[in-house]
This record gives sequence, C-alpha cells and structure tokens, in this order.
Amino acid sequence: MTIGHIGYWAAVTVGLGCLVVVVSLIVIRLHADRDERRTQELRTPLWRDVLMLGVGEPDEVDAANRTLLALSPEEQAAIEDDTFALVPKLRGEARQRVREVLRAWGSVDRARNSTTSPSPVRRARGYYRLGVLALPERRDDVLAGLHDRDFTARRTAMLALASFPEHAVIEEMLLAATVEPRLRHDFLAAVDQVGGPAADVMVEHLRRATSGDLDRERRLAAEAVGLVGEIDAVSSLEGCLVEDDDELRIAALQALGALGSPSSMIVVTAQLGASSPDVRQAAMVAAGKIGGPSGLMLLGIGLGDKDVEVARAAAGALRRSGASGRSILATSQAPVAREALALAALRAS
Amino acid sequence: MARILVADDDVDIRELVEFKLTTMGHEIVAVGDGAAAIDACMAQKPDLAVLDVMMPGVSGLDAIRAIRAEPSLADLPVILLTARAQESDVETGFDSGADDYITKPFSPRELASRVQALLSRSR
Repeated sequence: MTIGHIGYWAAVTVGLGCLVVVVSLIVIRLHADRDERRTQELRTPLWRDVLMLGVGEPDEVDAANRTLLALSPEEQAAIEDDTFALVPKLRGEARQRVREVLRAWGSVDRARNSTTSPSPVRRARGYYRLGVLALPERRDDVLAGLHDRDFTARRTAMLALASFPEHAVIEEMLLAATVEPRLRHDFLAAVDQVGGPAADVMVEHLRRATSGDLDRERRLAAEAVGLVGEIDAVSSLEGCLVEDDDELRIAALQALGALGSPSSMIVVTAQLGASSPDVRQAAMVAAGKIGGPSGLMLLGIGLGDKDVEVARAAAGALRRSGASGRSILATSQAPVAREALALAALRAS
Repeated sequence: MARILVADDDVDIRELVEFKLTTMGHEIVAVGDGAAAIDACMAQKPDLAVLDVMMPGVSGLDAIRAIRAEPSLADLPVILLTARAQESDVETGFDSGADDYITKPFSPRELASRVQALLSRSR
C-alpha cells in the first residue's frame, strides 16, 4: 500500500466521521425541537390552570386544583419549573395552594434527591426547591446545604432557609455567614425576608459579651437589625458604640441611622470624638438619617472635621435634610459646604 | 369592562396580573418596560395603569411623570407594583402622581379590590 492509498483512506475516514457528526447533530437538534414543541403544546393549556389556581375565584380554584392533581408525570414535567418560579411571586393562600400541588406531584422527594447529586447545579436547585416547598420536615436538608462543598449551593441554601423562620435556623444562618463572609449578602437578603423572628435572634447576639470571633457575628447582627427595622434593638445597638471594634461601631451606627430613633442622637454625637475617620463618617450619615435639631447640630460641627471625607459626609447629609440643612450649609465657611451647594445647584440646573 | 395597562419586566408577574384582570372581565394591554408603557398609554388611552417600579430603562416612577405630563392622561389612575425593599420609593411614587401601590409578592384578591376601587372612584 502506497502513501497515496493511506492518505486517500484517511481522508475518506475523516470525511465519513465528519458526516456522521453532522448528521448526529441534526438528528439531536430535530429531536430537541420536537420535544420542545411537545412540551409547549402540553404547557399552554396547563399553565392556564396553574394561573387559575393562583389567582382564580373559589370555584375556579377547585376546578384547577382537580385538573392539576390528575396530571400525568409528563404533563407535570412540562409545567413544574414554571410553577416553582411562580410560588415566590404569590402571597398568602394563593402561594400555599400552588405549593400543595407541587408537593402532591412528588416534588419534595425529587428536590431532596437533587440535594445529594454530584452536580452542584442540581444540589443548588434541590435546596432552592425545598425552600419554595417550605415543608418543615425537610428543614434539616436545607440546613445541611450551608455546609455544601460548593459556594453557589451554600448561597442558595442560605436564601432558601428564609422559608424556615425558626430560632435555631436563624442561629445557624448567622453562624454560617460569620464563618464565611462571602455569604453576608445572601444572609442579609434572607433575614430581610424573615423579618421579625430574625430580629429577635439578632438582638440576642448583640447583647452577648464581645470577644474575638463574636465581634464579626455582632457586626452582622447589627446590620441585620437595621435592615428589618427592629426598634427594640436600639439600646443593644447603642451598647455596641462603646466597644473597641471600629467595624462593629460602624455597623451599629448604620443600623441606628436606619432605625431613626431620636434618642440615639446622644450616643451618635459621642462618636464625633472617635479616632477613626470611618466611624466619624458613619456617625454623620446616621445623624443625617435620624434628623431633628440635634442631628443638624452634629452635622454642622461635622462640616469642620479634619478629615475631608467626614466633612463631605456631613455636607451631603445636610443637603438632604431640607431647608434647615441647606441653611446651615449656606452660612458655613467650610469648603465642603460650598462644594455641596454648588453640586446641588448643578444638579438642579 | 375597563382597558387596563399592565407594565412589568417580570413575565410571571405580568402574566399573573394580566390573567387575574382578564378573568375579572377587563381588557389588558401588557408591556415589559417603562418606555413601552408610556407609548401604550399615549396610543391606547387605558382606564387604569398598573406599573412596576423597577423596570429596565424607564422606571415606573419616570413613566408616571411622563404620563402625568400629558394633559389627556393627567387623571389616569395608576397603581404601582413594588418589592418590599423598595417601599421607600412609594413616597416618591405618590409625589409623582401614583394613586395606590401594591407590594410584591402580591395577593390576587388585594390586586382585584384595589383595581375595582380605583376604577369606581374614577368613573
């Protein structure tokens, strides 16, 4: 056999291989398109029943419920993803009705099985779905997700735990976010959803004596308390302002600003003597949010702070404080006051 | 029966609102952003508008301002759809001319009663 023969057969083999690949891709594509069309055909009338279950009148809800409970597995699969996506967008009885149908379809077991999949995407989906289904018996499966080896799965589990607003769960969430700062944002988002029950746990943590790692935990607790607007936490937050940890004091100042209690102005004012410019700046922002005569007075003093960013924060807060704030800026000789007024005029033009 | 404009970039929410209001016998014009909402208001002259606050491009608040600037739409009843975290925007929404607001996730019953109340007030 000559080299020419070998080359010829090699080219034929490669050409046939390419042809097989192209034909296979076309077949796969046609198959996928057919499946997609079939799913869409199934979905359209069934989705109407899901919407009816969510927003219909009582008799329409009953009819939709009966239809949905009698669906075949193939029909369920055609609308399951969309139905899961719909649950968080509903409230009250409507949300519960859609949840009940998903549970009746066996979604709980499927979601639970997903949480043990080797694929991190499937595990994340499992945690998310268990959160949507909110079955108390499955709480520990979602809690275990906080220790998943994949970060995305841990994030999803953190958000899903908002469906289980229990003391022990919130404690675990706070601990996980303390140990892994990357989870902070998701922790705060989950706490925002949980609301009141989370605030009680946060206040408990704020009251604990400080030491080492606990400081981070208390900083997070302070942030969370400000977010959910727990006014009973004011005294605990004020207590944090005498601590040495600057970050804790900043978090407490931010929370006090968000809560807006006028009684906090005494301790906020005391922060003007802090050595850290970041703490003084946080005090200016908090004073601007709390407002009132004492807040304006503190901001007026802040205009002369030796750190320009602190002075700028005071000027910005005064600019947002209505006519009284702007009048303090107008009478001040501080450069940042003139800067704030000029910027405000520029924006208005 | 009234003609109602629904503007929300979230397809599920838009579909839910549209479905609920359709079952109540209203005619719905559904759009996915603020600019389309302004155009639809000018062209279709709805009896009521349900606008999401946070939409890409032109927000719900900007859309209300633009709608109110048009004399023929100055009295159009507007309901804002807002997430809980954006509730601070509601004050701005009322300043811009919104008549009512509903927080998401919403209750279909609440939506129905707010829509009916505004429609009967405006007639």
